[in-house]
Amino acid sequence: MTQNQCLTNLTSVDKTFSSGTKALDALDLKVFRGEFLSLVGPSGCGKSTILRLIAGLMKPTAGTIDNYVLPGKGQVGYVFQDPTLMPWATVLDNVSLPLQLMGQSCGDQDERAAAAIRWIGLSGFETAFPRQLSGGMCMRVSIARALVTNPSLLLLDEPFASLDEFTRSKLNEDLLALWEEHQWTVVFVTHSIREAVFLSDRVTLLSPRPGTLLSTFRIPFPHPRRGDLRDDYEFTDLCRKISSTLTSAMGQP
Amino acid sequence: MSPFLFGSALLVLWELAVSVNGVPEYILPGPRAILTALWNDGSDLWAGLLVTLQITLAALVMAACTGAGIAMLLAQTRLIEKTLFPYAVFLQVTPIVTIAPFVIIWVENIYVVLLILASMAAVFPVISNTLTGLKSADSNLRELFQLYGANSWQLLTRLLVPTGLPYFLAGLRISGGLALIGTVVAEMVAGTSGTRSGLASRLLEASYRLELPRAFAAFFLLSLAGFSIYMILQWISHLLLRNWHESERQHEG
Repeated sequence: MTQNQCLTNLTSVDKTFSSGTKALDALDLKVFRGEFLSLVGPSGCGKSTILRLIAGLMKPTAGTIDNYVLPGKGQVGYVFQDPTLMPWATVLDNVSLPLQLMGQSCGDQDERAAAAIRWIGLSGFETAFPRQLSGGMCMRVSIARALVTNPSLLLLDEPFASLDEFTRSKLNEDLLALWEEHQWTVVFVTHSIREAVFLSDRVTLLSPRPGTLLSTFRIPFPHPRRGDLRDDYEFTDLCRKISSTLTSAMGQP
Repeated sequence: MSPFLFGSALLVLWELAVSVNGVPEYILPGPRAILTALWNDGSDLWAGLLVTLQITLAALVMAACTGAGIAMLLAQTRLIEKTLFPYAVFLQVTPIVTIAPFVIIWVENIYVVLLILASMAAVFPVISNTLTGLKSADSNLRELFQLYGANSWQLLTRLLVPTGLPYFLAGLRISGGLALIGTVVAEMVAGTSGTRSGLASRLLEASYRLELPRAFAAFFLLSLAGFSIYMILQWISHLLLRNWHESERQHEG
Protein backbone atom coordinates (compact mmCIF):
# COMPACT_ATOMS: atom_id res chain seq x y z
CA MET A 1 0.00 0.00 0.00
CA THR A 2 1.40 3.39 -0.95
CA GLN A 3 0.87 5.74 1.94
CA ASN A 4 3.40 8.42 1.25
CA GLN A 5 1.35 10.68 -1.00
CA CYS A 6 -0.44 13.38 0.96
CA LEU A 7 -4.02 14.00 -0.23
CA THR A 8 -5.06 16.68 2.24
CA ASN A 9 -2.79 18.69 4.48
CA LEU A 10 -4.07 20.91 7.31
CA THR A 11 -1.39 23.22 8.70
CA SER A 12 -1.92 25.03 12.04
CA VAL A 13 -5.62 25.44 11.35
CA ASP A 14 -7.73 27.55 13.72
CA LYS A 15 -11.48 27.70 13.58
CA THR A 16 -13.49 30.12 15.67
CA PHE A 17 -17.24 30.35 15.06
CA SER A 18 -19.10 33.65 14.92
CA SER A 19 -20.54 32.78 18.33
CA GLY A 20 -16.99 33.04 19.71
CA THR A 21 -16.59 29.31 20.28
CA LYS A 22 -13.11 28.15 19.42
CA ALA A 23 -13.49 24.73 17.82
CA LEU A 24 -9.96 24.05 16.57
CA ASP A 25 -6.61 25.37 17.76
CA ALA A 26 -3.45 25.10 15.67
CA LEU A 27 -4.39 21.74 14.23
CA ASP A 28 -1.97 19.88 11.98
CA LEU A 29 -3.34 16.89 10.14
CA LYS A 30 -2.20 14.96 7.10
CA VAL A 31 -4.39 12.55 5.20
CA PHE A 32 -2.49 10.13 2.96
CA ARG A 33 -3.80 8.70 -0.27
CA GLY A 34 -5.50 5.36 0.12
CA GLU A 35 -5.49 5.27 3.91
CA PHE A 36 -8.36 4.75 6.33
CA LEU A 37 -7.93 7.41 9.00
CA SER A 38 -10.18 7.68 12.05
CA LEU A 39 -10.60 10.78 14.19
CA VAL A 40 -11.60 9.93 17.75
CA GLY A 41 -12.40 12.37 20.50
CA PRO A 42 -15.05 13.51 22.96
CA SER A 43 -18.15 15.40 21.84
CA GLY A 44 -17.50 18.94 20.73
CA CYS A 45 -13.80 18.53 20.00
CA GLY A 46 -14.31 19.79 16.46
CA LYS A 47 -14.25 16.47 14.62
CA SER A 48 -17.15 17.43 12.36
CA THR A 49 -15.58 20.83 11.84
CA ILE A 50 -12.46 19.15 10.46
CA LEU A 51 -14.54 17.23 7.92
CA ARG A 52 -16.43 20.37 6.90
CA LEU A 53 -13.14 22.22 6.43
CA ILE A 54 -11.69 19.44 4.29
CA ALA A 55 -14.89 19.33 2.21
CA GLY A 56 -14.70 23.08 1.65
CA LEU A 57 -18.07 23.65 3.33
CA MET A 58 -16.44 26.20 5.65
CA LYS A 59 -13.25 28.23 5.70
CA PRO A 60 -10.63 28.15 8.46
CA THR A 61 -10.15 31.25 10.62
CA ALA A 62 -6.39 30.83 10.33
CA GLY A 63 -3.96 28.33 8.85
CA THR A 64 -3.94 26.62 5.47
CA ILE A 65 -5.61 23.59 3.96
CA ASP A 66 -3.90 22.06 0.95
CA ASN A 67 -6.33 19.83 -0.85
CA TYR A 68 -5.38 17.63 -3.76
CA VAL A 69 -9.02 16.76 -4.35
CA LEU A 70 -11.63 19.13 -5.68
CA PRO A 71 -14.89 19.39 -3.77
CA GLY A 72 -17.68 20.25 -6.20
CA LYS A 73 -16.41 17.83 -8.85
CA GLY A 74 -17.59 14.74 -7.05
CA GLN A 75 -14.11 13.92 -5.79
CA VAL A 76 -15.26 14.20 -2.19
CA GLY A 77 -18.04 12.05 -0.75
CA TYR A 78 -19.66 13.06 2.54
CA VAL A 79 -21.78 10.95 4.89
CA PHE A 80 -23.56 12.75 7.71
CA GLN A 81 -24.46 11.47 11.16
CA ASP A 82 -28.08 11.14 10.03
CA PRO A 83 -28.90 9.54 6.68
CA THR A 84 -29.96 13.00 5.38
CA LEU A 85 -32.03 11.58 2.53
CA MET A 86 -34.64 13.43 0.54
CA PRO A 87 -37.90 11.83 1.77
CA TRP A 88 -39.73 12.67 -1.48
CA ALA A 89 -37.25 10.80 -3.66
CA THR A 90 -36.78 7.08 -4.21
CA VAL A 91 -33.60 5.26 -3.23
CA LEU A 92 -32.39 5.45 -6.84
CA ASP A 93 -33.07 9.20 -7.08
CA ASN A 94 -31.42 9.83 -3.73
CA VAL A 95 -28.30 7.94 -4.74
CA SER A 96 -28.05 9.59 -8.16
CA LEU A 97 -28.51 13.12 -6.72
CA PRO A 98 -24.77 13.98 -6.84
CA LEU A 99 -24.63 12.97 -10.52
CA GLN A 100 -27.78 14.97 -11.29
CA LEU A 101 -26.38 18.06 -9.57
CA MET A 102 -23.12 17.69 -11.48
CA GLY A 103 -25.05 17.39 -14.75
CA GLN A 104 -24.28 13.85 -15.88
CA SER A 105 -26.30 12.33 -18.70
CA CYS A 106 -29.39 10.43 -17.60
CA GLY A 107 -28.74 6.84 -18.66
CA ASP A 108 -25.28 6.96 -17.16
CA GLN A 109 -26.74 8.27 -13.88
CA ASP A 110 -29.10 5.37 -13.36
CA GLU A 111 -26.42 2.85 -14.23
CA ARG A 112 -23.88 4.28 -11.81
CA ALA A 113 -26.48 4.74 -9.08
CA ALA A 114 -27.61 1.13 -9.52
CA ALA A 115 -23.97 0.02 -9.22
CA ALA A 116 -23.48 1.99 -6.00
CA ILE A 117 -26.70 0.50 -4.61
CA ARG A 118 -25.39 -2.97 -5.50
CA TRP A 119 -22.08 -2.34 -3.70
CA ILE A 120 -23.88 -1.42 -0.54
CA GLY A 121 -26.20 -4.42 -0.78
CA LEU A 122 -29.56 -2.74 -1.42
CA SER A 123 -30.37 -4.09 -4.90
CA GLY A 124 -34.12 -4.53 -5.25
CA PHE A 125 -34.90 -1.43 -3.17
CA GLU A 126 -34.29 1.12 -5.95
CA THR A 127 -37.91 2.28 -6.09
CA ALA A 128 -38.50 2.30 -2.33
CA PHE A 129 -38.93 5.58 -0.44
CA PRO A 130 -36.72 6.29 2.60
CA ARG A 131 -39.58 5.98 5.08
CA GLN A 132 -40.12 2.37 3.98
CA LEU A 133 -36.56 1.49 5.03
CA SER A 134 -35.00 0.78 8.42
CA GLY A 135 -32.41 3.11 9.96
CA GLY A 136 -29.54 0.86 8.89
CA MET A 137 -30.82 0.66 5.32
CA CYS A 138 -31.19 4.46 5.15
CA MET A 139 -27.56 4.75 6.25
CA ARG A 140 -26.59 2.34 3.46
CA VAL A 141 -28.41 4.57 0.96
CA SER A 142 -26.54 7.54 2.34
CA ILE A 143 -23.20 5.74 1.89
CA ALA A 144 -24.16 4.68 -1.64
CA ARG A 145 -24.89 8.33 -2.45
CA ALA A 146 -21.42 9.32 -1.23
CA LEU A 147 -19.83 6.54 -3.31
CA VAL A 148 -21.76 7.15 -6.53
CA THR A 149 -19.28 9.68 -7.90
CA ASN A 150 -16.43 7.27 -7.16
CA PRO A 151 -14.75 9.89 -4.95
CA SER A 152 -11.06 10.04 -4.16
CA LEU A 153 -11.84 11.09 -0.61
CA LEU A 154 -14.67 9.80 1.54
CA LEU A 155 -15.60 11.77 4.67
CA LEU A 156 -17.77 9.98 7.23
CA ASP A 157 -19.12 11.92 10.21
CA GLU A 158 -20.16 9.41 12.89
CA PRO A 159 -22.32 7.61 10.36
CA PHE A 160 -23.22 4.67 12.57
CA ALA A 161 -23.71 6.48 15.88
CA SER A 162 -27.48 6.11 15.95
CA LEU A 163 -27.59 2.45 14.92
CA ASP A 164 -27.91 -0.59 17.16
CA GLU A 165 -24.85 -2.74 17.94
CA PHE A 166 -25.60 -5.55 15.43
CA THR A 167 -26.40 -3.23 12.52
CA ARG A 168 -23.37 -1.19 13.35
CA SER A 169 -20.97 -4.18 13.35
CA LYS A 170 -22.42 -5.43 10.08
CA LEU A 171 -22.10 -2.02 8.43
CA ASN A 172 -18.51 -1.73 9.73
CA GLU A 173 -17.62 -5.02 8.10
CA ASP A 174 -19.37 -4.14 4.82
CA LEU A 175 -17.73 -0.71 4.68
CA LEU A 176 -14.33 -2.27 5.36
CA ALA A 177 -14.82 -4.87 2.61
CA LEU A 178 -15.78 -2.10 0.15
CA TRP A 179 -12.76 -0.06 1.15
CA GLU A 180 -10.43 -3.05 0.82
CA GLU A 181 -11.77 -3.52 -2.70
CA HIS A 182 -11.78 0.12 -3.90
CA GLN A 183 -9.06 1.78 -1.79
CA TRP A 184 -10.69 5.19 -1.48
CA THR A 185 -9.10 7.52 1.03
CA VAL A 186 -11.37 7.63 4.07
CA VAL A 187 -11.55 10.04 7.00
CA PHE A 188 -13.88 8.55 9.58
CA VAL A 189 -15.14 10.40 12.65
CA THR A 190 -16.37 8.33 15.59
CA HIS A 191 -16.80 8.20 19.36
CA SER A 192 -16.09 4.50 19.42
CA ILE A 193 -12.48 3.43 19.85
CA ARG A 194 -13.29 -0.20 18.98
CA GLU A 195 -14.95 0.88 15.74
CA ALA A 196 -11.98 3.11 14.87
CA VAL A 197 -9.41 0.36 15.59
CA PHE A 198 -11.36 -2.23 13.64
CA LEU A 199 -11.64 -0.07 10.51
CA SER A 200 -8.52 2.08 10.37
CA ASP A 201 -4.91 2.17 9.32
CA ARG A 202 -4.37 5.11 11.65
CA VAL A 203 -6.37 6.39 14.60
CA THR A 204 -5.88 10.02 15.61
CA LEU A 205 -6.99 11.22 19.03
CA LEU A 206 -8.25 14.77 19.49
CA SER A 207 -8.42 16.74 22.73
CA PRO A 208 -11.61 18.38 24.02
CA ARG A 209 -12.50 21.87 22.74
CA PRO A 210 -10.62 23.56 21.30
CA GLY A 211 -9.58 20.51 19.34
CA THR A 212 -5.88 19.78 18.97
CA LEU A 213 -4.03 16.64 17.99
CA LEU A 214 -3.26 14.40 20.99
CA SER A 215 -1.57 11.40 19.42
CA THR A 216 -1.81 9.04 16.49
CA PHE A 217 -1.81 5.26 16.64
CA ARG A 218 -0.87 3.02 13.75
CA ILE A 219 -3.15 -0.04 13.57
CA PRO A 220 -1.04 -3.02 12.54
CA PHE A 221 -3.70 -5.66 11.79
CA PRO A 222 -3.44 -6.92 8.20
CA HIS A 223 -6.23 -6.80 5.62
CA PRO A 224 -8.64 -8.34 4.85
CA ARG A 225 -9.96 -8.07 8.38
CA ARG A 226 -12.81 -10.23 9.59
CA GLY A 227 -15.43 -9.55 12.25
CA ASP A 228 -13.78 -11.97 14.69
CA LEU A 229 -10.72 -9.70 14.83
CA ARG A 230 -12.65 -7.85 17.56
CA ASP A 231 -12.24 -10.87 19.85
CA ASP A 232 -8.45 -11.05 19.50
CA TYR A 233 -6.37 -10.27 22.55
CA GLU A 234 -4.13 -7.86 20.61
CA PHE A 235 -7.16 -5.95 19.35
CA THR A 236 -8.63 -5.56 22.82
CA ASP A 237 -5.27 -4.61 24.23
CA LEU A 238 -4.75 -1.87 21.64
CA CYS A 239 -8.23 -0.50 22.27
CA ARG A 240 -7.47 -0.38 25.99
CA LYS A 241 -4.19 1.44 25.37
CA ILE A 242 -5.86 4.08 23.19
CA SER A 243 -8.71 4.42 25.64
CA SER A 244 -6.39 5.09 28.56
CA THR A 245 -4.47 7.68 26.53
CA LEU A 246 -7.74 9.47 25.79
CA THR A 247 -8.94 9.20 29.40
CA SER A 248 -5.74 10.67 30.82
CA ALA A 249 -5.95 13.55 28.33
CA MET A 250 -9.57 14.17 29.27
CA GLY A 251 -8.62 14.10 32.96
CA GLN A 252 -6.46 17.20 32.62
CA PRO A 253 -8.38 20.33 33.62
CA MET B 1 -71.69 6.98 8.10
CA SER B 2 -72.13 8.59 11.52
CA PRO B 3 -71.82 12.24 10.34
CA PHE B 4 -74.62 11.52 7.83
CA LEU B 5 -76.89 10.00 10.52
CA PHE B 6 -76.17 12.89 12.85
CA GLY B 7 -77.08 15.39 10.13
CA SER B 8 -80.29 13.54 9.27
CA ALA B 9 -81.37 13.45 12.92
CA LEU B 10 -80.72 17.17 13.18
CA LEU B 11 -82.84 17.86 10.08
CA VAL B 12 -85.72 15.76 11.43
CA LEU B 13 -85.59 17.61 14.77
CA TRP B 14 -85.52 20.94 12.94
CA GLU B 15 -88.52 20.03 10.79
CA LEU B 16 -90.45 18.86 13.87
CA ALA B 17 -89.62 21.99 15.88
CA VAL B 18 -90.72 24.27 13.05
CA SER B 19 -93.99 22.46 12.27
CA VAL B 20 -94.99 21.81 15.92
CA ASN B 21 -94.46 25.44 16.92
CA GLY B 22 -95.95 26.73 13.66
CA VAL B 23 -92.96 29.03 12.88
CA PRO B 24 -93.74 30.98 9.68
CA GLU B 25 -91.50 30.39 6.65
CA TYR B 26 -90.30 34.01 6.51
CA ILE B 27 -88.82 33.65 10.05
CA LEU B 28 -87.38 30.13 9.89
CA PRO B 29 -88.26 27.66 7.14
CA GLY B 30 -88.05 23.93 7.79
CA PRO B 31 -85.85 21.58 5.76
CA ARG B 32 -88.80 20.52 3.61
CA ALA B 33 -89.55 24.11 2.54
CA ILE B 34 -85.85 24.64 1.81
CA LEU B 35 -85.70 21.46 -0.28
CA THR B 36 -88.77 22.60 -2.20
CA ALA B 37 -87.15 25.97 -2.89
CA LEU B 38 -83.99 24.18 -4.01
CA TRP B 39 -86.07 22.02 -6.37
CA ASN B 40 -88.11 24.90 -7.82
CA ASP B 41 -85.31 27.47 -8.13
CA GLY B 42 -82.68 24.84 -8.85
CA SER B 43 -81.48 26.09 -12.23
CA ASP B 44 -81.44 29.70 -11.07
CA LEU B 45 -79.41 28.93 -7.93
CA TRP B 46 -77.14 26.60 -9.87
CA ALA B 47 -76.30 29.40 -12.32
CA GLY B 48 -75.44 31.63 -9.36
CA LEU B 49 -73.32 28.92 -7.78
CA LEU B 50 -71.34 28.50 -11.01
CA VAL B 51 -70.52 32.23 -11.10
CA THR B 52 -69.43 32.20 -7.46
CA LEU B 53 -67.38 29.04 -7.92
CA GLN B 54 -65.63 30.41 -11.00
CA ILE B 55 -64.55 33.51 -9.12
CA THR B 56 -63.55 31.45 -6.08
CA LEU B 57 -61.38 29.08 -8.09
CA ALA B 58 -59.80 31.90 -10.10
CA ALA B 59 -59.08 33.72 -6.83
CA LEU B 60 -57.59 30.56 -5.31
CA VAL B 61 -55.30 30.01 -8.30
CA MET B 62 -54.24 33.64 -8.15
CA ALA B 63 -53.62 33.43 -4.39
CA ALA B 64 -51.63 30.22 -4.85
CA CYS B 65 -49.39 31.68 -7.57
CA THR B 66 -48.81 35.12 -6.07
CA GLY B 67 -48.55 33.66 -2.55
CA ALA B 68 -45.92 31.14 -3.58
CA GLY B 69 -44.09 33.82 -5.58
CA ILE B 70 -44.08 36.28 -2.68
CA ALA B 71 -42.91 33.52 -0.30
CA MET B 72 -40.00 32.69 -2.61
CA LEU B 73 -39.06 36.37 -2.72
CA LEU B 74 -39.25 36.66 1.08
CA ALA B 75 -37.18 33.49 1.50
CA GLN B 76 -34.25 34.97 -0.45
CA THR B 77 -32.68 36.82 2.45
CA ARG B 78 -33.53 37.59 6.04
CA LEU B 79 -33.47 41.31 5.21
CA ILE B 80 -36.18 41.07 2.54
CA GLU B 81 -38.31 38.97 4.86
CA LYS B 82 -37.95 41.38 7.77
CA THR B 83 -38.70 44.36 5.52
CA LEU B 84 -41.73 43.01 3.68
CA PHE B 85 -43.40 40.42 5.93
CA PRO B 86 -45.13 43.02 8.17
CA TYR B 87 -46.99 44.25 5.07
CA ALA B 88 -48.22 40.75 4.36
CA VAL B 89 -49.56 40.72 7.93
CA PHE B 90 -51.31 44.05 7.30
CA LEU B 91 -52.92 42.48 4.25
CA GLN B 92 -54.14 39.62 6.42
CA VAL B 93 -55.63 41.66 9.28
CA THR B 94 -57.34 44.25 7.06
CA PRO B 95 -60.97 43.21 6.49
CA ILE B 96 -61.54 43.14 2.75
CA VAL B 97 -64.86 44.94 3.29
CA THR B 98 -62.87 48.08 4.09
CA ILE B 99 -60.81 47.86 0.90
CA ALA B 100 -63.77 47.05 -1.34
CA PRO B 101 -64.98 50.66 -1.86
CA PHE B 102 -61.57 51.71 -3.24
CA VAL B 103 -61.23 48.74 -5.52
CA ILE B 104 -64.74 49.33 -6.84
CA ILE B 105 -63.76 52.90 -7.73
CA TRP B 106 -60.50 51.92 -9.41
CA VAL B 107 -61.62 48.85 -11.32
CA GLU B 108 -64.54 48.95 -13.68
CA ASN B 109 -65.24 45.27 -14.30
CA ILE B 110 -67.15 43.94 -11.29
CA TYR B 111 -65.82 40.38 -11.73
CA VAL B 112 -62.25 41.65 -11.66
CA VAL B 113 -63.17 43.53 -8.46
CA LEU B 114 -64.47 40.29 -6.91
CA LEU B 115 -61.39 38.41 -8.07
CA ILE B 116 -59.01 40.96 -6.54
CA LEU B 117 -60.86 41.08 -3.22
CA ALA B 118 -61.24 37.31 -2.92
CA SER B 119 -57.59 36.62 -3.73
CA MET B 120 -56.50 39.25 -1.23
CA ALA B 121 -58.55 37.45 1.40
CA ALA B 122 -57.01 34.09 0.46
CA VAL B 123 -53.35 34.88 -0.11
CA PHE B 124 -51.90 35.12 3.39
CA PRO B 125 -51.98 31.46 4.50
CA VAL B 126 -50.16 30.53 1.29
CA ILE B 127 -47.46 33.17 1.88
CA SER B 128 -47.00 32.32 5.54
CA ASN B 129 -46.98 28.53 5.17
CA THR B 130 -44.85 28.43 2.04
CA LEU B 131 -42.31 30.74 3.65
CA THR B 132 -42.05 28.41 6.65
CA GLY B 133 -41.69 25.47 4.27
CA LEU B 134 -38.96 27.07 2.17
CA LYS B 135 -37.00 27.86 5.31
CA SER B 136 -37.24 24.39 6.81
CA ALA B 137 -34.95 22.61 4.35
CA ASP B 138 -32.53 20.26 6.12
CA SER B 139 -29.24 22.11 6.68
CA ASN B 140 -27.18 18.97 5.99
CA LEU B 141 -28.97 18.51 2.65
CA ARG B 142 -28.15 22.14 1.87
CA GLU B 143 -24.49 21.38 2.53
CA LEU B 144 -24.70 18.30 0.35
CA PHE B 145 -26.06 20.43 -2.51
CA GLN B 146 -23.22 22.89 -1.90
CA LEU B 147 -20.67 20.05 -1.90
CA TYR B 148 -21.71 18.94 -5.37
CA GLY B 149 -21.70 22.48 -6.71
CA ALA B 150 -25.47 22.85 -7.16
CA ASN B 151 -26.59 26.17 -8.63
CA SER B 152 -29.39 28.20 -7.07
CA TRP B 153 -31.96 26.91 -9.57
CA GLN B 154 -31.15 23.30 -8.63
CA LEU B 155 -31.30 24.23 -4.95
CA LEU B 156 -34.72 25.79 -5.45
CA THR B 157 -36.31 23.10 -7.60
CA ARG B 158 -34.75 20.00 -6.05
CA LEU B 159 -34.59 20.94 -2.39
CA LEU B 160 -36.58 24.01 -1.39
CA VAL B 161 -39.72 23.42 -3.46
CA PRO B 162 -40.14 19.74 -2.47
CA THR B 163 -39.48 20.63 1.18
CA GLY B 164 -42.00 23.46 1.01
CA LEU B 165 -44.70 21.56 -0.88
CA PRO B 166 -46.49 20.02 2.16
CA TYR B 167 -46.53 23.43 3.88
CA PHE B 168 -47.82 25.12 0.70
CA LEU B 169 -50.61 22.54 0.40
CA ALA B 170 -51.60 22.98 4.06
CA GLY B 171 -51.80 26.73 3.41
CA LEU B 172 -53.82 26.14 0.27
CA ARG B 173 -56.44 24.14 2.20
CA ILE B 174 -57.03 27.15 4.45
CA SER B 175 -56.97 29.52 1.48
CA GLY B 176 -59.64 27.46 -0.32
CA GLY B 177 -62.17 28.32 2.37
CA LEU B 178 -60.98 31.93 2.56
CA ALA B 179 -61.32 32.36 -1.23
CA LEU B 180 -64.98 31.33 -1.01
CA ILE B 181 -65.62 33.56 2.02
CA GLY B 182 -63.82 36.39 0.22
CA THR B 183 -65.93 35.93 -2.91
CA VAL B 184 -69.17 35.85 -0.89
CA VAL B 185 -68.30 38.95 1.12
CA ALA B 186 -67.13 40.78 -2.00
CA GLU B 187 -70.36 39.86 -3.82
CA MET B 188 -72.42 41.15 -0.92
CA VAL B 189 -70.47 44.40 -0.74
CA ALA B 190 -69.86 45.06 -4.41
CA GLY B 191 -73.10 43.53 -5.61
CA THR B 192 -73.69 41.64 -8.80
CA SER B 193 -76.96 41.52 -10.65
CA GLY B 194 -78.89 39.96 -13.49
CA THR B 195 -78.21 36.55 -14.96
CA ARG B 196 -74.49 36.78 -14.23
CA SER B 197 -74.96 37.41 -10.51
CA GLY B 198 -73.36 35.08 -7.99
CA LEU B 199 -75.02 32.93 -5.38
CA ALA B 200 -74.24 35.30 -2.51
CA SER B 201 -75.97 38.18 -4.30
CA ARG B 202 -78.98 35.95 -4.87
CA LEU B 203 -78.97 34.94 -1.21
CA LEU B 204 -79.00 38.58 -0.14
CA GLU B 205 -81.71 39.41 -2.67
CA ALA B 206 -83.90 36.52 -1.45
CA SER B 207 -83.51 37.57 2.18
CA TYR B 208 -84.52 41.17 1.33
CA ARG B 209 -87.70 39.75 -0.19
CA LEU B 210 -88.20 37.52 2.87
CA GLU B 211 -87.96 34.45 0.60
CA LEU B 212 -86.16 32.63 3.38
CA PRO B 213 -86.44 29.08 1.98
CA ARG B 214 -84.61 30.27 -1.13
CA ALA B 215 -82.03 32.15 0.93
CA PHE B 216 -81.45 29.04 3.03
CA ALA B 217 -81.13 26.91 -0.11
CA ALA B 218 -78.44 29.30 -1.36
CA PHE B 219 -76.75 29.18 2.03
CA PHE B 220 -76.61 25.37 1.97
CA LEU B 221 -75.23 25.33 -1.55
CA LEU B 222 -72.47 27.73 -0.50
CA SER B 223 -71.58 25.63 2.55
CA LEU B 224 -71.54 22.52 0.44
CA ALA B 225 -69.28 24.27 -2.09
CA GLY B 226 -66.84 25.29 0.67
CA PHE B 227 -66.80 21.78 2.03
CA SER B 228 -66.19 20.31 -1.44
CA ILE B 229 -63.33 22.72 -2.11
CA TYR B 230 -61.68 21.62 1.13
CA MET B 231 -62.13 17.93 0.34
CA ILE B 232 -60.78 18.33 -3.21
CA LEU B 233 -57.71 20.19 -1.95
CA GLN B 234 -57.25 17.49 0.68
CA TRP B 235 -57.39 14.87 -2.04
CA ILE B 236 -54.88 16.69 -4.24
CA SER B 237 -52.58 16.98 -1.23
CA HIS B 238 -52.96 13.26 -0.59
CA LEU B 239 -52.09 12.42 -4.21
CA LEU B 240 -48.96 14.55 -4.12
CA LEU B 241 -47.67 13.51 -0.71
CA ARG B 242 -48.86 9.96 -0.14
CA ASN B 243 -45.56 8.37 -1.10
CA TRP B 244 -43.34 10.19 1.29
CA HIS B 245 -44.78 12.68 3.74
CA GLU B 246 -45.48 11.82 7.37
CA SER B 247 -48.86 13.60 7.29
CA GLU B 248 -50.08 11.08 4.72
CA ARG B 249 -48.76 8.06 6.54
CA GLN B 250 -51.33 5.31 7.02
CA HIS B 251 -51.69 4.28 10.63
CA GLU B 252 -51.01 0.59 10.46
CA GLY B 253 -51.45 -1.62 13.42
